[in-house]
Amino acid sequence: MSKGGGEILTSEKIKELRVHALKWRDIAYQTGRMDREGVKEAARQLYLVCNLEKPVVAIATSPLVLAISYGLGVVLKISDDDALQKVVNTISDAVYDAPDDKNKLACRACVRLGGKKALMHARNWESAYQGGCMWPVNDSFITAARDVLGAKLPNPEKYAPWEYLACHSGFRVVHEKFCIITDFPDILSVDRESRAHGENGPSHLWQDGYAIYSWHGTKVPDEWIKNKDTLSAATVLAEQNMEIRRAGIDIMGWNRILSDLGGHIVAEDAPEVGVLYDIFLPDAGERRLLKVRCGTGREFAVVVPNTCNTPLEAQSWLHGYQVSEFDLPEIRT
Amino acid sequence: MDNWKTAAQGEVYLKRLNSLPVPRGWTELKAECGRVVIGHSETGHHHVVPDGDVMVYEKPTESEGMRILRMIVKNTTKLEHLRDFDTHAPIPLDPGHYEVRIGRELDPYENLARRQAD
Repeated sequence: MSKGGGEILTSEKIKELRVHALKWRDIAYQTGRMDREGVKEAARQLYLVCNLEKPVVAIATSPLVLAISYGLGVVLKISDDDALQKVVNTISDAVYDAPDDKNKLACRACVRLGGKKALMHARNWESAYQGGCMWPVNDSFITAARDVLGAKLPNPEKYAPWEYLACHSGFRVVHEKFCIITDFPDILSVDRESRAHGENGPSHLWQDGYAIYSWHGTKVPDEWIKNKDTLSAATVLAEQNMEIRRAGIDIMGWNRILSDLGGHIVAEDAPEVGVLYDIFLPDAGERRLLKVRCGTGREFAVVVPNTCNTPLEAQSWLHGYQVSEFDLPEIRT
Repeated sequence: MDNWKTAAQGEVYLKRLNSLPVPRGWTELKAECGRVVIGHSETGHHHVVPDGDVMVYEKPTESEGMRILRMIVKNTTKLEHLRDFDTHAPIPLDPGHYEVRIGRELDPYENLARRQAD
């Protein structure tokens, strides 16, 4: 017993918790086909325990089909499972048949079936989204408390359908009248730290061909992975999101980036203050680029005004200070 | 290290201030889901402080891509980064006044400063 009155975790319990965490990691990374009928029944049960009307239920082949079908479900007000599944299948077919731009063809199919209003609702799919097996964090904690530490849940029968869906299905949208659930991907590739990562292909690929490309946990444009060898530094630096840009630099490597841009060092300081380069960016001309290491040890590229002559001046500008009033952070994380 | 004067968590830069009144016209940030978002992320990896421990005010107009906040910490707390991997470690916050600046960068094509986005 600890001072506060709670039980101290034994080494056996800690081992059990580790095994439990790995079980939920595997749940999150499932691939293949789910038990469609079992999942549909669990969805109905979930509505029942929440005192909601029995929903119309259908299965989607990918998150793209899920999102588009959500918009159609809202507009078309379909009242039976087969009819909703037929609509979902039409979108699946459109996505499957699309050679390249699957988003575009799925949107076209959406407008054809339900008009622009359906597409508008489809854009709002995240408002009704639940993660299924891809939201394992809370459920791994709840079930660890129950299964490893012996906690009693107040209403286990209410949690049961939610837990089933967390273990056995992918993303879903929950509308008051219908529920659409996504099947597992065919491919789910991760790096050593369990971050979504595909070195030479998609990190996620669903059965209808819809894919997500990721680089060590950061979603990147498909072409950056598909055409890695021809990816240009200018394309990467034009990306406005710093994390995606950093992933692009990682894909290309700093040497290739700087060689592509004819970069040469203007001034150098400690890695967390940075190295200042002159580069040439097509359509932007001569620019000054700060390569800087953040508190997590990763290196970022930030363009600063050409008037910055040292990394410290660049750091001051990044935070809107004159050099004389700027102090380097004492702690940096 | 709890007695710092300046700190950075990713693109969020913090500077401890003497207790100064918040300038007129600054607007108080509202909490979202029990947290005040100090640094917003497009991908949901926000920098946040628990609601109730702080009051945060934002300067009304962005000056050249720079977002400037004033944070009054009432109870000891910490600035956290909501991300499961490559996470910036929490920064301890003692009661007091802080200026918070969200870093900017130059858009090389528009030649304009913009807020750093992640």
